[in-house]
Amino acid sequence: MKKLLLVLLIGLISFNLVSAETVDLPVFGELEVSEMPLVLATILIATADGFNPCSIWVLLFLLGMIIHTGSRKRIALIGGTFLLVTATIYGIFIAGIITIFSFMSYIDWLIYLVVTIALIFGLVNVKDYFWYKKGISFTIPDKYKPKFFKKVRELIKKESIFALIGGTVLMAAGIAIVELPCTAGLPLVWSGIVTESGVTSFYAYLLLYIFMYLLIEIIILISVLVTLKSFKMDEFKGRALKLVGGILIIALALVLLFDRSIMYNITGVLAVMMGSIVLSITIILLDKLVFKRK
Amino acid sequence: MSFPDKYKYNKDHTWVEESNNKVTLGVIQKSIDMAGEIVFVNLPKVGDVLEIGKPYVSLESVKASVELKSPVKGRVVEVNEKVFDNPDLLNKDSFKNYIAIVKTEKVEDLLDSKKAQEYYGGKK
Repeated sequence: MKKLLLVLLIGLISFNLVSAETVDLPVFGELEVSEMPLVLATILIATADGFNPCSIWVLLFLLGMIIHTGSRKRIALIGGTFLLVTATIYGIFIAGIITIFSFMSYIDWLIYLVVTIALIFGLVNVKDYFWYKKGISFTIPDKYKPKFFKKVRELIKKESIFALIGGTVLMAAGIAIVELPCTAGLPLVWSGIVTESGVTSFYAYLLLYIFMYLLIEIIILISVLVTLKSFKMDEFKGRALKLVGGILIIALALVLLFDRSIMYNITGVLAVMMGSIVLSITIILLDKLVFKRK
Repeated sequence: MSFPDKYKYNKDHTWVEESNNKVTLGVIQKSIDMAGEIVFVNLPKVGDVLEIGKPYVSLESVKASVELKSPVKGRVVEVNEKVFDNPDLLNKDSFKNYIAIVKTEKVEDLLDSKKAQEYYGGKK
Protein backbone atom coordinates (compact mmCIF):
# COMPACT_ATOMS: atom_id res chain seq x y z
CA MET A 1 0.00 0.00 0.00
CA LYS A 2 2.78 2.38 0.97
CA LYS A 3 4.55 1.52 -2.27
CA LEU A 4 1.42 2.25 -4.27
CA LEU A 5 0.98 5.62 -2.57
CA LEU A 6 4.58 6.43 -3.29
CA VAL A 7 4.17 5.56 -6.96
CA LEU A 8 0.99 7.66 -7.14
CA LEU A 9 2.72 10.58 -5.49
CA ILE A 10 5.61 10.38 -7.88
CA GLY A 11 3.18 10.14 -10.80
CA LEU A 12 1.23 13.14 -9.52
CA ILE A 13 4.19 15.43 -9.50
CA SER A 14 5.45 13.98 -12.77
CA PHE A 15 8.91 13.73 -11.47
CA ASN A 16 10.55 10.85 -13.31
CA LEU A 17 14.09 9.84 -12.50
CA VAL A 18 15.77 8.56 -15.66
CA SER A 19 19.24 7.87 -14.36
CA ALA A 20 21.56 9.03 -11.65
CA GLU A 21 22.86 11.88 -13.85
CA THR A 22 19.61 13.10 -15.40
CA VAL A 23 16.05 13.75 -14.34
CA ASP A 24 13.02 14.07 -16.58
CA LEU A 25 10.86 17.06 -15.65
CA PRO A 26 7.69 18.34 -17.29
CA VAL A 27 8.35 21.44 -19.46
CA PHE A 28 12.12 21.11 -18.91
CA GLY A 29 12.55 17.67 -20.48
CA GLU A 30 15.69 15.79 -19.51
CA LEU A 31 17.87 17.80 -17.16
CA GLU A 32 21.36 17.21 -15.86
CA VAL A 33 21.35 16.67 -12.11
CA SER A 34 23.83 19.53 -11.99
CA GLU A 35 21.01 21.84 -13.13
CA MET A 36 18.77 20.89 -10.21
CA PRO A 37 20.11 23.64 -7.92
CA LEU A 38 19.06 26.18 -10.58
CA VAL A 39 15.56 24.66 -10.68
CA LEU A 40 15.42 24.83 -6.88
CA ALA A 41 16.78 28.39 -6.86
CA THR A 42 14.15 29.36 -9.44
CA ILE A 43 11.36 27.81 -7.36
CA LEU A 44 12.48 29.47 -4.13
CA ILE A 45 13.30 32.92 -5.55
CA ALA A 46 10.07 33.05 -7.57
CA THR A 47 8.03 31.94 -4.55
CA ALA A 48 9.65 34.70 -2.49
CA ASP A 49 8.94 37.14 -5.32
CA GLY A 50 5.30 36.01 -5.30
CA PHE A 51 4.97 37.37 -1.77
CA ASN A 52 5.66 40.84 -3.10
CA PRO A 53 3.44 43.25 -1.11
CA CYS A 54 2.75 45.51 -4.13
CA SER A 55 1.21 42.83 -6.32
CA ILE A 56 -0.61 41.19 -3.41
CA TRP A 57 -1.98 44.58 -2.32
CA VAL A 58 -3.37 45.26 -5.79
CA LEU A 59 -4.91 41.80 -6.09
CA LEU A 60 -6.51 41.92 -2.63
CA PHE A 61 -8.15 45.28 -3.29
CA LEU A 62 -9.24 44.25 -6.75
CA LEU A 63 -10.88 41.10 -5.38
CA GLY A 64 -12.23 43.00 -2.35
CA MET A 65 -14.11 45.27 -4.72
CA ILE A 66 -15.39 42.56 -7.08
CA ILE A 67 -16.69 40.52 -4.14
CA HIS A 68 -19.14 43.36 -3.69
CA THR A 69 -20.90 42.17 -6.86
CA GLY A 70 -21.44 38.76 -5.23
CA SER A 71 -20.76 37.08 -8.59
CA ARG A 72 -18.24 34.24 -8.64
CA LYS A 73 -18.24 34.39 -12.43
CA ARG A 74 -17.10 38.02 -12.36
CA ILE A 75 -14.48 37.30 -9.70
CA ALA A 76 -13.09 34.43 -11.80
CA LEU A 77 -13.21 36.41 -15.03
CA ILE A 78 -11.68 39.65 -13.74
CA GLY A 79 -9.28 37.94 -11.30
CA GLY A 80 -8.15 35.33 -13.83
CA THR A 81 -7.66 37.87 -16.63
CA PHE A 82 -5.82 40.18 -14.26
CA LEU A 83 -3.36 37.44 -13.19
CA LEU A 84 -2.84 36.28 -16.77
CA VAL A 85 -2.07 39.77 -18.09
CA THR A 86 0.17 40.86 -15.21
CA ALA A 87 2.07 37.54 -15.38
CA THR A 88 2.53 37.87 -19.16
CA ILE A 89 3.89 41.40 -18.87
CA TYR A 90 6.13 40.36 -15.98
CA GLY A 91 7.36 37.40 -18.05
CA ILE A 92 8.14 39.66 -21.03
CA PHE A 93 9.99 42.03 -18.70
CA ILE A 94 12.14 39.23 -17.25
CA ALA A 95 12.74 37.69 -20.70
CA GLY A 96 13.91 41.13 -21.81
CA ILE A 97 16.41 41.38 -18.95
CA ILE A 98 17.83 37.90 -19.66
CA THR A 99 18.06 38.60 -23.40
CA ILE A 100 19.93 41.85 -22.76
CA PHE A 101 22.28 40.04 -20.35
CA SER A 102 22.85 37.28 -22.94
CA PHE A 103 23.75 39.78 -25.67
CA MET A 104 26.18 41.53 -23.39
CA SER A 105 27.76 38.16 -22.59
CA TYR A 106 28.32 37.68 -18.92
CA ILE A 107 31.32 39.85 -18.29
CA ASP A 108 32.52 41.11 -14.94
CA TRP A 109 31.21 44.65 -15.20
CA LEU A 110 27.74 43.29 -15.86
CA ILE A 111 27.90 41.35 -12.60
CA TYR A 112 28.89 44.55 -10.80
CA LEU A 113 26.00 46.38 -12.46
CA VAL A 114 23.46 43.69 -11.47
CA VAL A 115 24.86 43.53 -7.93
CA THR A 116 24.80 47.32 -7.55
CA ILE A 117 21.20 47.65 -8.75
CA ALA A 118 20.12 44.63 -6.68
CA LEU A 119 21.79 46.04 -3.56
CA ILE A 120 19.95 49.33 -4.05
CA PHE A 121 16.62 47.45 -4.38
CA GLY A 122 17.43 45.29 -1.36
CA LEU A 123 18.54 48.13 0.89
CA VAL A 124 15.51 50.27 0.00
CA ASN A 125 13.23 47.32 0.79
CA VAL A 126 14.93 46.79 4.17
CA LYS A 127 14.70 50.54 4.81
CA ASP A 128 10.95 50.35 4.10
CA TYR A 129 10.52 47.91 7.00
CA PHE A 130 11.89 50.50 9.43
CA TRP A 131 10.91 53.75 7.69
CA TYR A 132 7.96 52.90 5.47
CA LYS A 133 7.57 55.25 2.49
CA LYS A 134 10.14 57.65 3.98
CA GLY A 135 12.63 58.89 1.40
CA ILE A 136 13.11 56.61 -1.60
CA SER A 137 10.53 53.83 -1.66
CA PHE A 138 9.71 51.16 -4.21
CA THR A 139 5.96 51.13 -3.68
CA ILE A 140 2.99 51.92 -5.89
CA PRO A 141 2.83 55.74 -5.83
CA ASP A 142 -0.12 57.09 -3.81
CA LYS A 143 -1.19 59.25 -6.75
CA TYR A 144 -2.24 56.09 -8.65
CA LYS A 145 -4.56 54.82 -5.90
CA PRO A 146 -7.64 56.98 -6.67
CA LYS A 147 -7.32 56.12 -10.39
CA PHE A 148 -7.02 52.40 -9.61
CA PHE A 149 -10.15 52.31 -7.45
CA LYS A 150 -12.07 54.46 -9.94
CA LYS A 151 -11.14 52.10 -12.80
CA VAL A 152 -12.17 49.02 -10.82
CA ARG A 153 -15.47 50.61 -9.86
CA GLU A 154 -16.17 51.37 -13.52
CA LEU A 155 -15.04 47.88 -14.50
CA ILE A 156 -17.31 45.91 -12.20
CA LYS A 157 -20.34 47.75 -13.53
CA LYS A 158 -19.74 46.65 -17.14
CA GLU A 159 -22.43 44.34 -18.41
CA SER A 160 -20.78 42.97 -21.56
CA ILE A 161 -18.24 40.18 -21.01
CA PHE A 162 -16.03 41.54 -23.80
CA ALA A 163 -16.03 45.00 -22.24
CA LEU A 164 -15.28 43.41 -18.87
CA ILE A 165 -12.32 41.41 -20.20
CA GLY A 166 -11.07 44.30 -22.36
CA GLY A 167 -11.26 46.71 -19.42
CA THR A 168 -9.47 44.23 -17.16
CA VAL A 169 -6.69 43.70 -19.72
CA LEU A 170 -6.08 47.44 -20.02
CA MET A 171 -6.18 48.01 -16.28
CA ALA A 172 -3.94 45.01 -15.55
CA ALA A 173 -1.41 46.16 -18.15
CA GLY A 174 -1.28 49.61 -16.57
CA ILE A 175 -0.85 48.17 -13.08
CA ALA A 176 1.81 45.68 -14.18
CA ILE A 177 3.89 48.56 -15.53
CA VAL A 178 3.31 50.85 -12.55
CA GLU A 179 4.30 48.14 -10.05
CA LEU A 180 7.46 47.06 -11.92
CA PRO A 181 9.84 49.20 -9.83
CA CYS A 182 8.32 47.58 -6.76
CA THR A 183 8.89 44.02 -8.01
CA ALA A 184 12.00 44.23 -10.16
CA GLY A 185 14.66 43.37 -7.55
CA LEU A 186 14.36 39.58 -7.35
CA PRO A 187 13.85 38.93 -11.10
CA LEU A 188 16.91 41.04 -11.78
CA VAL A 189 19.12 38.92 -9.52
CA TRP A 190 17.49 35.70 -10.76
CA SER A 191 18.12 36.75 -14.38
CA GLY A 192 21.76 37.31 -13.45
CA ILE A 193 21.99 33.84 -11.93
CA VAL A 194 20.31 32.18 -14.94
CA THR A 195 22.49 33.99 -17.46
CA GLU A 196 25.63 33.28 -15.50
CA SER A 197 24.74 29.58 -15.24
CA GLY A 198 25.07 29.32 -19.02
CA VAL A 199 21.85 27.34 -19.62
CA THR A 200 21.16 27.11 -23.35
CA SER A 201 17.46 27.94 -23.15
CA PHE A 202 15.96 29.89 -20.29
CA TYR A 203 12.29 29.67 -21.35
CA ALA A 204 11.48 26.62 -19.24
CA TYR A 205 13.04 28.32 -16.23
CA LEU A 206 11.10 31.49 -16.98
CA LEU A 207 7.83 29.54 -17.17
CA LEU A 208 8.63 27.89 -13.87
CA TYR A 209 9.49 31.30 -12.37
CA ILE A 210 6.22 32.86 -13.52
CA PHE A 211 4.19 29.87 -12.33
CA MET A 212 5.78 29.95 -8.86
CA TYR A 213 5.47 33.74 -8.75
CA LEU A 214 1.76 33.42 -9.50
CA LEU A 215 1.08 30.52 -7.17
CA ILE A 216 0.28 32.57 -4.06
CA GLU A 217 -1.98 34.87 -6.12
CA ILE A 218 -3.75 31.86 -7.65
CA ILE A 219 -4.32 30.50 -4.13
CA ILE A 220 -5.71 33.89 -3.02
CA LEU A 221 -8.04 34.01 -6.04
CA ILE A 222 -9.31 30.47 -5.44
CA SER A 223 -9.85 31.18 -1.72
CA VAL A 224 -11.88 34.28 -2.53
CA LEU A 225 -13.88 32.36 -5.14
CA VAL A 226 -14.71 29.66 -2.61
CA THR A 227 -15.38 31.80 0.47
CA LEU A 228 -16.51 35.07 -1.15
CA LYS A 229 -14.55 36.80 1.60
CA SER A 230 -11.68 39.17 1.05
CA PHE A 231 -8.42 39.21 2.95
CA LYS A 232 -6.61 42.25 4.14
CA MET A 233 -2.93 42.98 4.22
CA ASP A 234 -2.13 45.60 6.83
CA GLU A 235 0.93 47.82 6.75
CA PHE A 236 2.93 45.64 9.13
CA LYS A 237 2.56 42.54 6.95
CA GLY A 238 3.53 44.60 3.91
CA ARG A 239 6.62 45.90 5.70
CA ALA A 240 7.55 42.42 6.92
CA LEU A 241 7.33 41.03 3.37
CA LYS A 242 9.51 43.88 2.15
CA LEU A 243 12.09 43.03 4.81
CA VAL A 244 12.23 39.36 3.79
CA GLY A 245 12.42 40.29 0.10
CA GLY A 246 15.06 42.95 0.75
CA ILE A 247 17.32 40.66 2.78
CA LEU A 248 16.98 37.92 0.17
CA ILE A 249 17.90 40.30 -2.66
CA ILE A 250 20.95 41.51 -0.70
CA ALA A 251 22.00 37.91 0.09
CA LEU A 252 21.68 36.84 -3.55
CA ALA A 253 23.55 39.94 -4.73
CA LEU A 254 26.40 39.15 -2.32
CA VAL A 255 26.46 35.53 -3.52
CA LEU A 256 26.72 36.77 -7.12
CA LEU A 257 29.52 39.08 -6.13
CA PHE A 258 31.64 36.82 -3.94
CA ASP A 259 30.90 33.16 -4.63
CA ARG A 260 28.52 32.17 -7.41
CA SER A 261 29.27 28.49 -6.89
CA ILE A 262 26.97 28.61 -3.84
CA MET A 263 24.02 28.76 -6.24
CA TYR A 264 25.18 25.57 -7.98
CA ASN A 265 24.59 23.21 -5.10
CA ILE A 266 21.32 22.47 -3.41
CA THR A 267 22.66 22.99 0.11
CA GLY A 268 23.98 26.42 -0.88
CA VAL A 269 20.65 27.50 -2.39
CA LEU A 270 18.71 26.31 0.66
CA ALA A 271 21.20 27.96 3.03
CA VAL A 272 20.85 31.35 1.30
CA MET A 273 17.05 31.16 1.32
CA MET A 274 16.65 29.83 4.85
CA GLY A 275 19.34 32.15 6.18
CA SER A 276 17.52 35.17 4.74
CA ILE A 277 14.20 34.08 6.22
CA VAL A 278 15.68 33.32 9.65
CA LEU A 279 17.50 36.68 9.69
CA SER A 280 14.28 38.49 8.74
CA ILE A 281 12.26 36.74 11.45
CA THR A 282 14.99 37.53 14.01
CA ILE A 283 14.93 41.23 13.08
CA ILE A 284 11.12 41.35 13.27
CA LEU A 285 11.08 39.59 16.65
CA LEU A 286 13.81 41.87 18.05
CA ASP A 287 11.96 44.88 16.72
CA LYS A 288 8.69 43.76 18.32
CA LEU A 289 9.94 42.31 21.60
CA VAL A 290 12.97 44.46 22.41
CA PHE A 291 12.23 47.77 20.71
CA LYS A 292 8.42 47.38 21.11
CA ARG A 293 7.74 48.86 17.70
CA LYS A 294 4.26 48.25 16.22
CA MET B 1 -14.56 70.61 14.17
CA SER B 2 -18.14 69.77 15.13
CA PHE B 3 -19.79 66.78 16.74
CA PRO B 4 -23.55 67.00 16.12
CA ASP B 5 -25.62 66.62 19.30
CA LYS B 6 -27.99 64.10 17.72
CA TYR B 7 -25.26 61.47 17.51
CA LYS B 8 -23.22 59.55 20.06
CA TYR B 9 -19.64 58.47 19.49
CA ASN B 10 -17.29 55.63 20.30
CA LYS B 11 -13.55 56.05 20.77
CA ASP B 12 -12.76 54.46 17.43
CA HIS B 13 -13.95 57.12 15.00
CA THR B 14 -17.58 56.03 14.64
CA TRP B 15 -20.71 58.08 15.17
CA VAL B 16 -23.90 56.31 16.22
CA GLU B 17 -27.52 57.35 15.83
CA GLU B 18 -29.91 55.27 17.91
CA SER B 19 -33.58 54.78 17.07
CA ASN B 20 -35.76 52.02 18.54
CA ASN B 21 -33.78 48.79 18.25
CA LYS B 22 -31.67 49.96 15.32
CA VAL B 23 -28.57 52.11 15.08
CA THR B 24 -27.00 53.93 12.16
CA LEU B 25 -23.20 53.89 12.04
CA GLY B 26 -20.97 56.38 10.29
CA VAL B 27 -17.47 57.77 10.41
CA ILE B 28 -16.47 60.92 12.28
CA GLN B 29 -15.45 63.69 9.90
CA LYS B 30 -12.27 64.53 11.80
CA SER B 31 -11.10 60.94 11.40
CA ILE B 32 -11.71 61.13 7.66
CA ASP B 33 -9.76 64.37 7.48
CA MET B 34 -6.89 62.77 9.40
CA ALA B 35 -6.83 59.64 7.22
CA GLY B 36 -6.57 61.63 3.99
CA GLU B 37 -8.67 61.30 0.84
CA ILE B 38 -10.78 58.14 1.09
CA VAL B 39 -10.65 56.16 -2.15
CA PHE B 40 -12.36 52.91 -1.19
CA VAL B 41 -14.89 51.88 1.45
CA ASN B 42 -15.07 48.16 2.10
CA LEU B 43 -18.60 47.90 3.46
CA PRO B 44 -20.01 45.11 5.60
CA LYS B 45 -22.61 42.92 3.92
CA VAL B 46 -26.30 42.89 4.75
CA GLY B 47 -26.76 39.98 7.14
CA ASP B 48 -23.27 40.24 8.67
CA VAL B 49 -23.23 40.00 12.44
CA LEU B 50 -21.18 42.73 14.09
CA GLU B 51 -19.46 42.30 17.42
CA ILE B 52 -18.45 45.10 19.77
CA GLY B 53 -14.77 45.93 19.29
CA LYS B 54 -14.42 43.93 16.05
CA PRO B 55 -13.81 45.67 12.70
CA TYR B 56 -16.98 46.40 10.73
CA VAL B 57 -15.73 48.58 7.87
CA SER B 58 -12.36 49.30 6.32
CA LEU B 59 -11.40 52.54 4.69
CA GLU B 60 -8.59 52.89 2.21
CA SER B 61 -7.18 56.37 1.89
CA VAL B 62 -4.36 57.58 -0.31
CA LYS B 63 -2.14 57.46 2.77
CA ALA B 64 -3.27 54.45 4.75
CA SER B 65 -5.70 51.66 5.36
CA VAL B 66 -7.91 51.82 8.45
CA GLU B 67 -10.33 49.33 10.00
CA LEU B 68 -12.95 50.73 12.35
CA LYS B 69 -14.27 48.81 15.33
CA SER B 70 -17.96 48.32 15.84
CA PRO B 71 -19.58 49.99 18.86
CA VAL B 72 -22.54 47.60 18.66
CA LYS B 73 -23.45 43.95 18.58
CA GLY B 74 -26.11 43.12 16.03
CA ARG B 75 -27.03 42.22 12.48
CA VAL B 76 -26.46 44.54 9.51
CA VAL B 77 -29.81 45.29 7.86
CA GLU B 78 -28.74 47.97 5.41
CA VAL B 79 -25.53 49.37 3.96
CA ASN B 80 -25.00 52.64 2.13
CA GLU B 81 -24.03 51.58 -1.39
CA LYS B 82 -23.58 55.24 -2.35
CA VAL B 83 -20.32 55.47 -0.39
CA PHE B 84 -19.03 52.33 -2.15
CA ASP B 85 -19.79 53.89 -5.53
CA ASN B 86 -18.59 57.32 -4.53
CA PRO B 87 -16.27 57.42 -1.50
CA ASP B 88 -15.89 61.14 -2.04
CA LEU B 89 -19.22 61.53 -0.24
CA LEU B 90 -17.38 60.67 2.98
CA ASN B 91 -14.61 63.11 2.20
CA LYS B 92 -17.20 65.86 1.75
CA ASP B 93 -19.52 65.15 4.68
CA SER B 94 -19.26 61.92 6.60
CA PHE B 95 -22.02 62.90 9.04
CA LYS B 96 -24.56 62.99 6.23
CA ASN B 97 -23.39 59.74 4.67
CA TYR B 98 -23.76 56.70 6.88
CA ILE B 99 -22.02 53.33 6.52
CA ALA B 100 -24.57 50.82 7.79
CA ILE B 101 -27.76 50.33 9.74
CA VAL B 102 -27.69 47.59 12.36
CA LYS B 103 -30.44 45.84 14.27
CA THR B 104 -28.87 45.95 17.69
CA GLU B 105 -28.61 43.51 20.53
CA LYS B 106 -26.14 45.54 22.56
CA VAL B 107 -24.47 48.94 22.35
CA GLU B 108 -21.24 49.82 24.13
CA ASP B 109 -20.97 52.87 26.38
CA LEU B 110 -20.76 55.87 24.09
CA LEU B 111 -19.65 59.47 24.39
CA ASP B 112 -22.07 62.35 23.95
CA SER B 113 -21.07 65.18 21.62
CA LYS B 114 -19.46 67.24 24.39
CA LYS B 115 -17.32 64.34 25.63
CA ALA B 116 -16.50 63.36 22.05
CA GLN B 117 -15.37 66.92 21.39
CA GLU B 118 -13.05 66.71 24.41
CA TYR B 119 -11.81 63.22 23.48
CA TYR B 120 -11.16 63.83 19.80
CA GLY B 121 -10.17 67.45 20.36
CA GLY B 122 -6.98 66.27 22.02
CA LYS B 123 -6.26 63.70 19.34
CA LYS B 124 -3.87 64.47 16.57
